[in-house]
Amino acid sequence: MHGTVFPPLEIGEVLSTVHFLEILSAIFLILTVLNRLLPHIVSASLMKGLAVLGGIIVSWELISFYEIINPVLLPPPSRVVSLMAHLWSIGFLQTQIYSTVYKITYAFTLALVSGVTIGIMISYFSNTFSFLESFLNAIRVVPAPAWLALAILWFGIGHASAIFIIWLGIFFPILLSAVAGVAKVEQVQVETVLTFGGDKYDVLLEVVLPVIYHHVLTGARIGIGIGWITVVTAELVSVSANSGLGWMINDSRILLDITTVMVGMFLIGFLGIVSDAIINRFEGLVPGWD
Amino acid sequence: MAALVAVMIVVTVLRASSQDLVGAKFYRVLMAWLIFFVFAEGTIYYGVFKSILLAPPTAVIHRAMFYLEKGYLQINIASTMFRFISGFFIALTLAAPLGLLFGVYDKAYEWIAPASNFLRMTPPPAILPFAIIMFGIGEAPAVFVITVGCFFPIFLATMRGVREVETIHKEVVQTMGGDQMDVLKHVILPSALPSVMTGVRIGFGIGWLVLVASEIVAADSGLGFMIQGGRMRLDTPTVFVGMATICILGLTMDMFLKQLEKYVTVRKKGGGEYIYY
Repeated sequence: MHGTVFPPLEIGEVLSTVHFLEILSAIFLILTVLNRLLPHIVSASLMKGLAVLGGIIVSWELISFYEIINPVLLPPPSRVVSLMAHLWSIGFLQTQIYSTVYKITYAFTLALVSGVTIGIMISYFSNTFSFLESFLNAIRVVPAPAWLALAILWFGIGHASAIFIIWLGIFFPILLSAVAGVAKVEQVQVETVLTFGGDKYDVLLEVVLPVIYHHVLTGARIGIGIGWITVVTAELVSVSANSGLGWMINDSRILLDITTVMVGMFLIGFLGIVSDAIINRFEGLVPGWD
Repeated sequence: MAALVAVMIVVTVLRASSQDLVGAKFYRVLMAWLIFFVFAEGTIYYGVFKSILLAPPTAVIHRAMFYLEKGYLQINIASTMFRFISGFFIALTLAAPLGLLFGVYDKAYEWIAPASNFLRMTPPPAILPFAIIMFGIGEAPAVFVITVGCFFPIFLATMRGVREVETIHKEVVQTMGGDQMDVLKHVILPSALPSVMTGVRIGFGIGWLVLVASEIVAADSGLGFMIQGGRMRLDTPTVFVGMATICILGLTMDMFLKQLEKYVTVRKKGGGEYIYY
């Protein structure tokens, strides 16, 4: 059963190629003006990159327009943009975006908490918990999508099994970065705290946590990339109750509706860039020791 | 099961007799694993967990033996490895020269940066349905997606490596009368190589992940396909055989790459950076 049966686009709702090219050149003109007025926001190097991107989009539009490649297989960007606006206006797109973002945020939060906790356990309290390491290594080398089958058996079809494998994907980069961070702690700083009468937990709070903060951020950035890979995989196999951008992509592929496939691909890429930028924002928040 | 308990007793006796023969860490790790196996086997035997949810280790070993005998496991390993290696090498042959090019002419990278960032942040499995439509079900979409997955880590690492080459080293060669090719051959390539190796290892990790994902979604052979088939038949031992094989193959290749990296980075101080995979 397919859920993505929308009312088809009316002829009037699809942007014509001429219209699309006009809008593109208008955007480019506005950007050029902005580049002159506010050079620190719209920089010259950004303009160069956007020019190439614009060139790619225009040539893609023309390829589809002159039917050099079958436009059913490679729909023109004008059609993709129109469909995106259409799906947004009927509220379908928001539902899928919410479902995907919900899953990855849930899993990311879980992974952050558990990754940092277990990372500190097996490195800082290594006397007690070092035996966990070999188990974790064995789990780590099996890539997250391979756990999909077991996750479905354990948690059933639904959000839980999807969140489980996304968590697995994000967990290990964060865990390893926390372990690497603990290894980089300067002995002098530890001894300073101990000299002033602090105990092991003071060292943990005052020295270890600020040091691993930056390492964990690196791990989180790698982790969110892997998280996007696993969330899409989980949704492609429609683990999680037929919702999410990945499901939308796969469902429209089966219907040979490539335009929707493209809408999904671009949205996932865009959300990936946004999530990466958000994590980047946390970089300067805690001053490091060095 | 009796064999496992016997091993536990023998190791404990050995450790009691001489501390040097069996190290403390080795002992603890081995014991943890043995207790885990005994636990897994016992709980399923006495019906604490359903055997569908967690296959007993003996059943997994029996199933693996059966598949090895029939040649089913070998066929799937072969097709998985074929896909992975071809995708990986296509990515390497494209990414390393391109990274070198954009590293040397770093003004040129400004032009393609937004386009490349956008492609980089699109997860490869999201491209998979599109690749299936373009190339059809079979080897090509999987290889394509693995290539995309491996490409960007190698490309970016190569570019960074080439940019971080010390200017003074280049100038030394130029002062001695060397031309561009000499700089490339004697300075840029040797100094960028460790960075390329880092990229290769990261790309390997991502490629391996994407490979399994693409085999689960769209393939008619391979280890991911085997896992997916096992799941559909509620045949949990097969799922575990597939996962264990993926684990062993991944570990072996990663160890090989680690050795290669050590060999390559021997000249660089502080080489062999930590990789989060």
